[in-house]
This record gives sequence, structure tokens and C-alpha cells, in this order.
Amino acid sequence: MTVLKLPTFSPSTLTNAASLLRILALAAIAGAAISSRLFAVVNFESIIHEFDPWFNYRATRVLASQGFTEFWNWFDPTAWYPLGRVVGGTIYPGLMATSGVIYNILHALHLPVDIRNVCVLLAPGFSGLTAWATYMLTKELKDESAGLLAAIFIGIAPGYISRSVAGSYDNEAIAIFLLMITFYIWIRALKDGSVLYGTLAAVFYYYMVAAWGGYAFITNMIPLHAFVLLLMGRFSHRLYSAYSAWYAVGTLASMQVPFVGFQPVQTSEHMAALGVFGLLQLIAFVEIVRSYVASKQFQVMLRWFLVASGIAGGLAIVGLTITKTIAPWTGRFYSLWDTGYAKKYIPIIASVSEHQPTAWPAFFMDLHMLIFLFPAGVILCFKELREEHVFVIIYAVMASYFAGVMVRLMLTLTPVVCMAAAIALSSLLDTYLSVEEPARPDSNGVDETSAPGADVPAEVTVSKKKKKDVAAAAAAAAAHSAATTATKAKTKPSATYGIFGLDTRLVVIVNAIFMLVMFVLHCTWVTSSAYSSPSVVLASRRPDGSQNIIDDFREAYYWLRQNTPQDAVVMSWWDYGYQIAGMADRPTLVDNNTWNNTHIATVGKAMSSSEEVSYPILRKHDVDYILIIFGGLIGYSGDDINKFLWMVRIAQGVWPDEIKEPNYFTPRGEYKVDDQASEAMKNSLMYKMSYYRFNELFSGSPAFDRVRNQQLPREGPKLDYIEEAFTSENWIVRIYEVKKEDPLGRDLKTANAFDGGKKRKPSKPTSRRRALTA
Amino acid sequence: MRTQLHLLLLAAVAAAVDLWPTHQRIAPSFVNTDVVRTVELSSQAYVKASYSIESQSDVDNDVFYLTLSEEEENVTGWIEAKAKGATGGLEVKRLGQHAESLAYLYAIKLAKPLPKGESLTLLVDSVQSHATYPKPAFATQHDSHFRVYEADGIVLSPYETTSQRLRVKAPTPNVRSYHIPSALEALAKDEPAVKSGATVTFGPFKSQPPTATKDFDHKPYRVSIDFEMNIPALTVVSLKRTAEVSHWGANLNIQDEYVVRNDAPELKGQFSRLDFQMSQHARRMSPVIIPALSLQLPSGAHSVYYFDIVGNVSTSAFRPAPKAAGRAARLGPQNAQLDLKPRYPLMGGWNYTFTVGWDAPLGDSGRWDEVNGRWILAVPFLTPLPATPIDQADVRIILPEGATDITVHPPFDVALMERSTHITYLDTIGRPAFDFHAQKLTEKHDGFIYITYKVPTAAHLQKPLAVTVASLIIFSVMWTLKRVDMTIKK
Repeated sequence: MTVLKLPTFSPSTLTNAASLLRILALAAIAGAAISSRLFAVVNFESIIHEFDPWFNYRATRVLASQGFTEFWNWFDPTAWYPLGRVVGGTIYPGLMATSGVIYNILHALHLPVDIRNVCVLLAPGFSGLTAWATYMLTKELKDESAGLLAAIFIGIAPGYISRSVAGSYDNEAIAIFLLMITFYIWIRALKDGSVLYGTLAAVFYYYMVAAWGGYAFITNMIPLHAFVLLLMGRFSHRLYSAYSAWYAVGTLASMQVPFVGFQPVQTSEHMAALGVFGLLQLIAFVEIVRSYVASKQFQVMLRWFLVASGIAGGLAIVGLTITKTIAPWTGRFYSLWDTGYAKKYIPIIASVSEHQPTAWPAFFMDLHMLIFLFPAGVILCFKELREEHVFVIIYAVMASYFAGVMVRLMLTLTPVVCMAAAIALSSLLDTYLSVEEPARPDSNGVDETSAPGADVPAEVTVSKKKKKDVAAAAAAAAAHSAATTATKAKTKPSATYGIFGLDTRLVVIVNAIFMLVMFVLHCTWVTSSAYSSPSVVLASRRPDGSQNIIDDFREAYYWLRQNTPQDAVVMSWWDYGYQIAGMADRPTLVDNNTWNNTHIATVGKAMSSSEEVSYPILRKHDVDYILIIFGGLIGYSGDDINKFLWMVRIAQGVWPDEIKEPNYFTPRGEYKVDDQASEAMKNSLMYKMSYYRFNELFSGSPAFDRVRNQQLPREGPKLDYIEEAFTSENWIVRIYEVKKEDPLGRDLKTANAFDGGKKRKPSKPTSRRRALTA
Repeated sequence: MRTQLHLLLLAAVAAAVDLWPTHQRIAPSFVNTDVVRTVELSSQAYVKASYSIESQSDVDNDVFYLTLSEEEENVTGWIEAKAKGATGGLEVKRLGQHAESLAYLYAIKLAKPLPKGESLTLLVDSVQSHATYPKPAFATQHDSHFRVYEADGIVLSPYETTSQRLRVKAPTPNVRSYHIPSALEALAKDEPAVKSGATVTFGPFKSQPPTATKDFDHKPYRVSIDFEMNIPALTVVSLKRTAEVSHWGANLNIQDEYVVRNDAPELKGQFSRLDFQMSQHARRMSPVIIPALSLQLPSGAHSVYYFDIVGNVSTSAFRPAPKAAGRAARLGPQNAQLDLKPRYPLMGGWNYTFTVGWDAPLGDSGRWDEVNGRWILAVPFLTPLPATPIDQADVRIILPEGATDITVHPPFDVALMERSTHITYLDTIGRPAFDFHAQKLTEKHDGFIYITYKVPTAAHLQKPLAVTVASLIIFSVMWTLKRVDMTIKK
């Protein structure tokens, strides 16, 4: 029975048309994924965003202009002045290598695309590939239509877009594609028991290791999947060959990345993979022995063998950990389990905003309707529970947890949410778009042919009841339809479950379409308004509604680049290190590669101490210029005064006797910059540099800080040891030059007072007078 | 392989032919009856000299030799001459340093030989760049800026000079001092130097024998004037122009990379944004600070872009040329204007680099010469910033792929010209490119480089054919691979 008569085609026409449509749909999805990431280019320009991408871009330029060998051996003397940085050995080179290869291929084809444009458009390009990889993986879970839905979801979900808009040239740009393709090939390897696919998975795993520190997610996900399958009693030779091929080749390959080196056999993060590898060998061995030895003897042997190998393995791991051959978990890893850990022990990690726990609204903002389709999809996975479904369930659980503890890891959650939501929505659509109608149950008791309009209230109750039935049937039908497609069986002529009538179908389908439209609108809106700002360039609206570009960062960086000596050392908080290196091309003390906590704490101390204390530090580090960010004039809240407490905290971690966080608060525990600000605060270099000559701008009336909404003291700070060198148009970037020692050997404060025409305060005579009276 | 063809320079040829004047004593065919040099001091020094000459001989009387001292030669970027009352300029040829007197020799070819006893007035205009220097070399944001201009008090000339004067016009009447050496003072007819308003007049001086000789030392006769400067002194340190012709797009793309420097006295101390904003607000900003530049682009210019090393500079404004209609059409094509605001105001001594580019219809600068079957292309050597010297200019013109029979005519003698091959979007054999390098240019050097060439039809089709063939190869390979069964197990 069907509700609609559909035109019939030959099966070959149907397959061909479907395959063509799929290709077209995938192409359109890739197009949508790429174009929705171009808001940043359209609204602003083709520019590298944020902070880390500036370093990646700089490294890529070295790679493109000087070749891979030079890049590999690149020692950057301008970073972490005076220490320098061995760049080749301290980065994941996958991203730069990818851009370099693309750049060289394009140039070989006589397409002289600028390296900057390659870098800017890399992330959108790879998002198209991610959509394809997600399609392939979801296809394995359910079918092609679910795959296409998953592809479009991942293509435009803000959770992924937030890290892959044009210009967001960071490791995540290619890592999510690698994550999905590795998982897909792993599932294929597992399904076929194919060593070839296992090796291929290892190759992509290697690429992932070379590209992103988050590779540890794969390193633990695949063993966890294998382990759970073992616990479920689903050991098979397919699992054995797939896992062994992946682990052996993948581990050896990953050790070729210099930054990773021997970590895969030395650190706790990688031990799970090794353990599961060992376990699989044991079980395979036991399986072989079982096939040769009689059952009774086998029981005894197995027991002894397991006990012995268990004790041996445990002792080995404990011993290696005690002797420090295996490194314990790193602090970053601990902070995943205890969200308060970082704040207590590693403030530098906690000071990064993307390492904070996720707020609930962020889930809805990044995933919209997918977040409530997600559980439904996961539950549908339980209905079948093939190996790949187990994988998705584990992935869903793990990623949900991680996304909850760290904003940044929303990124790894998004793909699985898209897949699960696609499964759920596709099941719904399968059920309601199917023209098949079940046989009418006799017990229904509703007379469908009764005259309409006779009893209106009765009909309402009837339809309500009917809806309830329909809802109940829908869930069941969803599972049913999933099962039918999985077994590739054609629909049976008389289904026991299904939907009656056209109207119910319409209601649900229209609803689903409405939600999808809302989803698209939401994604577009979030992408354009929240995730497409380069943060190097700020935009505001003029009163007439036109866009006003605030370009202070580039103004100041460009000034540094053009009008200061090439070797002038610039000190700033570490956030701006990469940007200064990339745009101003000047040596910096600290940058976003926060490997040396003491060095950062030194900068923190120089910023939070008084001028007299800071000056020797500045001179010892050859600092010529100090760059700070000040938003008080136009209300830019991400400025250095707001980050100041982190500087204090990090400095306190190294010099607890000299820098004390409570000193920077008012007696009532408030963080203030006005009259009530504490002495330590008012005397700190950061405070002085931020507000130097700020009240003169208000010509007499008291100065007002628009970020902190506080009135500043009438008397502005005075500077003796440094002098203002440059201030950008909206005062966002202020650069100060550190004075050289006074040529006459005076203290700079005295020298400054002398230049200002003030007399030196007589300090000695008082004591002399006292001596006289005594 | 890059073939580099060093074309012989016009100047070099000329020098080879006219080698002898620089090594021979110049015949005293003329007498300078009166020489008046008027120097207008602005961001550059504009020298308008009028030489009243009288012929002394019936031979060698068709070429007038002008000589400059080494100091003047070093700053002179442009020189042109014409006879008073006549239309059209006279040919001026730079001959180089005279072997004996060490003065720099220029030959002005007169329209016709000047018979003995007749006289003529020659007007020689020249532009001197970097002819002034700041004094003191440092100044704060608020200070008035003073510069010093030095010049030869009496002209160097291979001829006798009966009377001469030097008049220097400063931009403001605020002339702090002027100096005339005592040796020169002795030569004065009456008052050696007079200041009236913004103008200082040195001379007139008494009759002088030829001064462009071995024995005459011009150095003790140099005068100087110390004046207030209220005009910005911008310098283009280097300009790289790339012009690319596309016949498919009927487009001429021009891209200029500028390196500029504010040559005002260097900023003393540090830059204070507060003071700058206050003076800007009160409209009392020092005139030597350069907050913006404006560039006149050809009337058809569109798709203008403006960026520097760190990206697009969002503060520029482009005003396209007004549509030619009614009265505007009768006035002829008007320029489009690009107002550029550097990322930061250029204080004295500050540098800035930027790149400007635009597209223009090919029809505006290229013509199809039907008689010879050739394209004629006119590319401006540079787009001058008003009154700004250009120390170094490199122009590259990229012709379409497959262009042959190329002739090149630069507007003035360039120091070096070379040919190379430029490979860009989907080129197979590359495009012929010509590079011109020149130094010491002024806004007067904005002449056209004329290039004529032929493009066979086959060359036009080369690119689409190459792309078609490449795509066909890819498709056929994919088609074959799809149909080959590569499974091992059956």
C-alpha cells in the first residue's frame, strides 16, 4: 500500500541518477562549506587572523621561499630573545608543509598564487574535504542520505567554522579533515580486516601527528575502540590485523616528527595504544593456542598465562614509570580531568581564554538543533551496534566530556554531533518520506470513513490520539527503517510499522524542513557575526550604519617595522609575540609558543613592578621598545589592563616574595584603576604606560576609562625611565622606548627631574640637623 | 632559460658620437650678455634661467654649451630649454663631465645657427631635487622647520658673461639668514644681496671671463639661504612599476610599489599622538607632517587596490573620474583621484612603503595600427606624486604571450633597459617583459614608453588551447583508470 503513486524508473536509471545527484550534492556542499567561510574575506580582506596563525604564516613563508631543508633547520634568533627558538624541532610542520606543497604545485602549473592567499584559503578548502570525509564515514554508519546530511551539517556547523574561516590559518584547519579521514579509514580497515587500509589509516595518522598536537585524541580513541570491542567479546582477526597494522606503522611513522620524537614509547598519553596492542597480541596468541589444545588443559593454561603476563606487564609499566622512563601525564592532560588544576599549578595555561570550561549557551550557539538531535542519533546507534556504531558511541561520550571542560575542544565534538544528528534526522526523513503505508490495524477503532464535520470536538480528540499513535510509531519506524537499509533489503510489501496518511507526513516533514532552514540561518548568522572577525582588524559601526575599520594593530606594527632599527627588541605580553614577529618583523622576548614559563614571568614581573624595579630587568634583556594594548579610549575590552592579573599571577609563581596578587586589589578586594587603586597597581609599569597622558586627552575634565567604566585619578602617571614612542590612532596600541642610561651617570629619575627644572630634594640636611640637636 | 638582452642606450650612442666636446676646448662662439637665474624653493628647487646670448662667430654657432658645477649636476634631475618667443623646446643633450674644467656639459641645439652679432634669449628650466637640507637636522612636532639652499653665486659657463643675477624665492618671507661670500661680494656691481619679501637677489655681478675652465674654482662663490619651510618634503626612495597588458581582457594593469620617506627634519624625541591629535583638532598641524597623499590616476582607472606588507590599508578613498558629459566632455578626460592615508602620519624622517594598483581599459593606452598590423602601446613611465623627487624607478612592461617584432621607445634616456621572460597565469612559454631602470627622476619624467609589437592569432589561442588539452588529458586518464579493473582477486 502506498500513499502516493510514484513514477517508476528502471533500476539502472535510478542508481545512475542517484550517483550523479550525490556527486552534485557533495560538490554543492563543499561549495557551501567554502563560501560560508569567506565572510571574513568579504567583510574585511584576505588577511591572516588572530595570533598563532601569524606564526604559521611566517613559517610557511620561510618554507615557500627557502625550501624545506632550510625550514627544517630554521633557528629563529628573534623569538624568545635572547634565547632564540629551534623552530624546526618545536612545531608540527604538517600545516606549513601542506601549504608549501600546494604553493609549489600551483606555481609549477604557472598559477602564481601568493603564499598569503594559499594560507588564507587553506582552511576553507580543507573544510570541503572534511565534508567529504564525514560523508564517507556516515555512509558506513547508515547510508548515503545520512552521509549527505552529515556532510552539510559539518560543512556549515559554527562549531567547526569557528576554527576554519578563511584566514584562520591554524593546525585545526587541516586537522579535522585528517581526524575524520583517519577514523573513516580505520572503520574501513576494521570492517574488511584489511592490512592495506590499516596501513593507510596509519599514513593519515602520521599526517595528523605532523599537523596537530590533538593527534593524541586519535592515539587514544582507536585503542579505546579496540579495547571496548574486546570487552564486548568481539575480538576478531579483522580487528587484530587492522589494529596491528595501524599501530605498528602509525607509531613508527609518528616518531619521525621531530617534535614528537620518542614520546609514543615514553609518555603516558601513548601507553594506552601500546597496552591495547600488547593485549591484542596476547588474545590472538591465546586464540591460536585454544584451537590446538583441549578445552580442560586450556582453562588451566590460560589462567596461569593470564596471571603471569598480567603481573609481568603491570610490573613493567610501574617499574618504567618509577624509573621515569615513561613520563607521567603532562599538566595539560591533568587539566582535562580537573578543571581547577591549571589555575592552581600552571596559570599560563589557564590564562588562555580558549582553555576555559565551556558555557552552556556555547553548545547551542555552535551546534544549534544538532545538539538535541545528537542524543537521538547516538541512541539509534545502539539499535544496531555494529563495530562502527560502537566507535561513534565512544567518540560521542569522550568528545562530549572534553568539550565540556575546554571551549577549544568543541571542535572535536562537532564532527560526531553532525554524524549522530544526521543519522537521527535521516531516519526520521526515511520514515516520513517513504510512500509505503502499513496495513491498517483492525483494533484502531477509528472509523476513517465517518462523515466529516458531524462532531467537531470529537474529531479533535481523535486527531490528538492519532498524533500520539503516530509519534510512538515514528520512533519504532525509524529503527525499523535503519535496520532495513542496513541489511539492504527491499521494503516488504506489508509493513507492520509505518505512517498513515499524507497529512501526518507533511506536518513532520514541514517541521523538519523548518528546522533545517532555521539551522542554516543560525549558522550563517553566527558565522558572519561572531566567527569572521580577524581580530587584527576591528570593525565598528558609525552612527550612520556604515562600517568603520579600526586598524590600530597594523598601524603600530607597521610603524615598528618601518621606523625602528631592524634589531630593536620589543617587549610585550606573550599574546602579541607572534603578531609582532609576523607584522613588525622585530625580535620579541616572549611569544605565543609559551614554552618558557620563567621568561614569561620575567616579562610579567617587569610589567607589574614599579619603574625602578623594572628598569634593570628591561636593560638586562636589551629591551628597546615596550608594546602594550590599551582599550580605555574606545572601549576595547581585550586590553592589557584586563589581562594584567594574569601577568601578576604568573610572575608571582616565580617570584612569590616580590609580586603578590592581593597587592593589586583594593582593600575591599576590588580590581580598580581609579583613585582607590592600590599603590602597587598605580606604580606598576603597566598602569603607568596605559594611562600616561591619558587625562590630558579630556582637557581638564576627569579622564574616563570606557572598558572598566571608572574615572581615573586627576593626576596622571609620570614616566622617568621610559618615554612614549608611538600611540596608534585610537590609542589601542601604545609603544614606549626604554631610555638608555644617563650619560652623566645619574639616576634617570634625577636626570628627568633636573630636565624638568625641579630642584633635587634636600634629603641629607635633615639628618644633619638632627645630629646637631643631639 | 632567460635571455637577457642589454639594449644599447640612446645616451651611450650619443656619447660615443659626440665624444669630442668633452675633451676639447669649447670655442667662445657666444657671449652671455645677461644671465638671470630664478630659483623657486619648494619641496624641490625649480630653477628658471634665462641666458641672453650674442653670437661671436660664424662657425660653431649652432650649439650653445651649458655647464653645471658638480654640486648642481648632482641635484639636477630635469633640464629643458627653449628660445624665448619660440614655440617648442630645443634639444638638450647631456654630454657628461668636461675633461679639463671638470664641469658637466650640456649641449643645447639651437633651431638655426645664430649669425655673428645677433642675439637670442634662451630659457633653461631645471628641477633640482634634494637641493636643500634641514637645519637643524632635528625638530620636534611643533617646531618651525628651516632648510638651507646653496647655489653657485655665478654661473659656470664656457663663455664670457657680461652681467648676471641670481634670485632665490623662499616659500615664506621668513628667511632666517642668507650668506654671500666676500669673494663674490667683491664682484657685485652695487648692492651684493638684497632681500625683499620672500625673495633674495644676489647681484647683479660684474663681467666675468669664461668660468668653466681648469683654473676657475667655483667653490668660494657659493651663496646660501636659510629659510622656513612650510611645504612637506616627501621623497620617493624607490618606485617599482609593473604594467601588464592583456588582450583577452582588453586591460592594462599597472601596479606601483612605493618606498617613501618624509625628508623634513627628523623628529626630535618621540612622537606624541596626543599632541598630534590636539594640533589636528585645532588645525595647527605642522605643515611638514604628511597625513595623506593623493595620486592622480588615468581617467579610465578602475578596480583600484592599495595595500602594504601587512595587508590592505583601509583608509584610502578612490574618486573615479567624472563621467564625460556636457561641459566635462569638452574639457577632456579628467583624472581619477586616489586619496591615500598611510597607516600612520609621516613625521620627519619616517618611512612608509605601499603598493597601489589599478586596471584601465586597454583602449585608453593601446591602439591597433591597421597599416602595419601592429599594436602600439603607450605606458606612462610613472605617475608622479606632486612635487616629489623619485630617487630610483624600475619599470617593467609585460607584453602578451607570443608578442613578436617588438620595438621600444623610452621617453628619456634610461640608465639600463633589459629584456626578460615573465611567466604568469597559465602561461606556456612566458611573456616578453622589458625592464627600465632610471635614477634621479622628477615629476617631469612622466612621459610615455611607446612599445609596438605584433601578436599572431595563434598566440591569442595558445592559452585556451593549453588549458583544454590539459583538462582533456586529465579526463581521459581518469576515464581510463575508471575502466581498468585493478583487483587482484576475482
